[in-house]
Amino acid sequence: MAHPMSGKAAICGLGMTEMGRVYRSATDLATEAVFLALGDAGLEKSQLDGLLVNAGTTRGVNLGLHRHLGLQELNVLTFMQGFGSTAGQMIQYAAMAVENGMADYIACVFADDPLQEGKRTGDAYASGQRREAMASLNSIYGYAGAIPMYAMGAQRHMDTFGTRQDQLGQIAVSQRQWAGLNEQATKREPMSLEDYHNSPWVVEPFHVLDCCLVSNGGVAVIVTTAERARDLSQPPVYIRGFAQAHNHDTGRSGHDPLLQGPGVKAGPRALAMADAKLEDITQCQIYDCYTYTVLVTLEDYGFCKKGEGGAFVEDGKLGPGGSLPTNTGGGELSSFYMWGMTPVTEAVIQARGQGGARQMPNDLILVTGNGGILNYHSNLILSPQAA
Amino acid sequence: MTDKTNSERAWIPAATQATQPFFDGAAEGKLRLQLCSGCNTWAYPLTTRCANCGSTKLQWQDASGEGTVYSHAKLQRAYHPRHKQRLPLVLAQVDIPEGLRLMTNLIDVDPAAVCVGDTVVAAFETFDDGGVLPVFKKA
Ligand SMILES: [Zn+2]
Repeated sequence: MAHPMSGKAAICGLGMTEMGRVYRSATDLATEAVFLALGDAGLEKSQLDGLLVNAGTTRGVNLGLHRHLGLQELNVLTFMQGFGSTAGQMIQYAAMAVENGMADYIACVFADDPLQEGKRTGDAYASGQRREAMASLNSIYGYAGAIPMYAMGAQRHMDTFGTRQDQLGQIAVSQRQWAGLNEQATKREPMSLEDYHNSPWVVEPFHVLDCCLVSNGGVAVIVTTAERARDLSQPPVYIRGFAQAHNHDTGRSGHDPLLQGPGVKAGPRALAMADAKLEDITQCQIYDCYTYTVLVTLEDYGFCKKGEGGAFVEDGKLGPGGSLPTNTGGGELSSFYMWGMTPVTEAVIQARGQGGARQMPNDLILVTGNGGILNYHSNLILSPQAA
Repeated sequence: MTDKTNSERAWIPAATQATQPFFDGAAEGKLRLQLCSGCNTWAYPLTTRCANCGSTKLQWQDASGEGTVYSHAKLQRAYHPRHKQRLPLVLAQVDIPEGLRLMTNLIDVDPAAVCVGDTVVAAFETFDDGGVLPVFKKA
């Protein structure tokens, strides 16, 4: 039997600004996203009584967003930060709040503005701060940002299980094929495995094309009860299951945090809430900061055995025409990088049946969010049906 | 970063009183880390409180200098002046018998010949400005 909360809340509004080199502040992008979501749902601003805010890389939007929105009275308001797992978490907490009567309509908002006019993409996350000796060691050793650690995850997978570069590349190629069908995607030009191999190394075994895009933009979704959602402009997207799991990497030997993430725990919990089996999942929207994140998450959820992710993705089954449609908008690798909101937006579009040329069977959609180095994890199981 | 900035910048900034023992150890060719007197657990990076038992009684001790490669990757772009003549720089997470996993580099090695499970030992890289950085090399 499904959990009593399963299917009782729904996403009723989606707002997406322009994505990419949009030189506006994160606060401005977040504000526009909320107005777009209200319009999409057919709601008046005065009906919005809850706001959850998540800032991206630049920390460019904060709790004060409610002032920019002119929201004078709110029943739920907070700023949240669980990195790439936050988008899913905001929707989870919003679902619990509306089901329990704390608020009627809660907007969950993410915005980021790392791209600056006249600055190269590669410099977007660079920091010129001079630090103390011990604190500076990681950058002296070459550990800048998350890429080296995820690259080491991929390398450990390769050394341990024989996973090949081609197999990581196929994930990027499959997602680019999806992006070609998505007019909102940033990178739509066709890409072959050869293009993948020819793209420069960043931290080997990661080419540039193993890594997510850098994007400016804002996204908002509005969560309400299933009952209210049925009276609004858009088909309700029911929240059938969700869970979180978080691993603290202790920096100690004897555990294997790069080969297995917390999704291994969060997956069964969300499926149990939805009273569903993994085989019931008809498509996946998986957090894909790097190709390897997709591979390890598919294994953690049990779509294939641990270690067999490379062989699993190699035949293109994640791409158009494949048996497990995954990241059908192009994902963070090819569409845009709005942290956990990238998989959420595509799941909402797909659940509503608004995917156009890329619309796939949408009975049960798995959405995952991942932050840190496979440390923080949330998920959602979304569906056009309440039960 | 511009080259001008680089030349004005020491490769390792100044240590504080609290972190100085780590760098003094490196200068003496020792991998000097903190050991908790409360529970005998090693700590790194530097901390003021043991994450295992909560004790603040941490003492600097020399580690064995032995290690095993947990994973590795090759940095192909320079983010720091040190990286420039060293690309590809071998990044490695090294498990040491003291129970820690260190984020470090492997030096004096063919980057193509590094594999998970390789046995390594502590080594020390001395910079022109006198700074010494603990790293590892193949045993
Ligand atoms: Zn202790």
